[in-house]
Amino acid sequence: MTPPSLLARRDVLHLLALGALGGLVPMALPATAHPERRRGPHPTPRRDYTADKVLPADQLGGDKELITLFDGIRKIPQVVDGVRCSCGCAELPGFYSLLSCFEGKDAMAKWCAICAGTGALVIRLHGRGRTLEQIREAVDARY
Amino acid sequence: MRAIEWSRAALCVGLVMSADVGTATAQLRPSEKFALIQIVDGDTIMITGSRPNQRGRDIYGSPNVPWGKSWTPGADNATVLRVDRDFSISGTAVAKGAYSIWMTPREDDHWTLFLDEANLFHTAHPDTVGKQYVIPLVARSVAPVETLTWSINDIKGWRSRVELTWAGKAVDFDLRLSAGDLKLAADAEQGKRIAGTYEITPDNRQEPFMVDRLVARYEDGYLKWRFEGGNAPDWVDGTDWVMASRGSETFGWYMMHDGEVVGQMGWAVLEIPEDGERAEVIEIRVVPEDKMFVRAVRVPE
Repeated sequence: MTPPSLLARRDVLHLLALGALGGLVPMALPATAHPERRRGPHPTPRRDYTADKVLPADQLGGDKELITLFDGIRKIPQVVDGVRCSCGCAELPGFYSLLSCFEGKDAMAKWCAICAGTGALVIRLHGRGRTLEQIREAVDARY
Repeated sequence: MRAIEWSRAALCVGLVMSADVGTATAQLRPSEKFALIQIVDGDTIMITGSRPNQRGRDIYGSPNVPWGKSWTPGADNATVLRVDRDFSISGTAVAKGAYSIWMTPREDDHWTLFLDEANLFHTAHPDTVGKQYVIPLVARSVAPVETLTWSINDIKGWRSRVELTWAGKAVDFDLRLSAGDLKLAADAEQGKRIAGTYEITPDNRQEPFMVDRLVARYEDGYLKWRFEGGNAPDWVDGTDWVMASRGSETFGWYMMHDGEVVGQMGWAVLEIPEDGERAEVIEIRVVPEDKMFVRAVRVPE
């Protein structure tokens, strides 16, 4: 039998592969399977920050659902800016809040179901009179 | 050293390393390594180690595995159990992490399982004063199995059964992942607020949930509910579900069987607004799109 101090290189490679596999397997699952994994602190809404950078309707390719969504976001920037997006974009440089997902010509919410779904949830609950804290709780319960 | 000498030195190192790989590739081990991985609710349960063969030897009660002495069920390095979430074994709570597995077999079949925090070589038995979890096991006699075998079976919800079989003996233990912050049970006040019959009109439902009613009830400490009426597949119509609170107005959708959670409909949540003393609306909304799938409105009593 092989004493532990003299592992062959192949054994080390096997162990590394097992370690990598153990780390990779959970990442293969959808976020909804384990929502608390992706959750981080919600940001504080930036003072006097506006919706000026939210992508305008005429740049959404005529998609009615997207136009309605982006219009809804545009009306409540101070609320949206206080919510963290759980799709992973929060880790990217330049992203501050869910509002960032709707900004610029490459706005991620155009094609990311989590950015768009979270935005739709925020708009809907705000329309029902829910506070930012209640909205954050609902976001955390889903994503 | 000149460049050509460095090149020759590098070539020699490369050849030596290749020879090492060549030797390892050709090497057959008496106890080959294994990795057993099971995913439960998104977290990994992994057992790794080596699998010895009986090879005609007496095992239990022999110098190979003496009665009453700690032994790692494997060979070479200690067999390791790694679980990525807090869990319990046969009711004993264990913190998430990696543990070496040791057992003390006894002739009367009352064995003991030890989980030790250290990864040790098989002859370096764990120090009994170190941090360990100690769990009683009951072994049983089975048809002989040549190669030491670990398996993870009977996976229902967060519960599974881990079994070791070798050389005519088998032991198993219940491994249950923590449910985390999931609040499966509901309090009576919440039960009273939500229980009732809710009507689903045709424009407020989608295939395959072509149902007429949602009936919620508070029973055995859980908020249970089911769809009724209409024209829906068997698995929709009449199946008992459980709603578990994830916040004040959002509930997860779970399946229960024999009092145990056995699954989750992770693609949707139930939204029950807290706008009054009694819930008036239950909506099933798809995640992540937040689209409404079913809307049920309370039927006045």
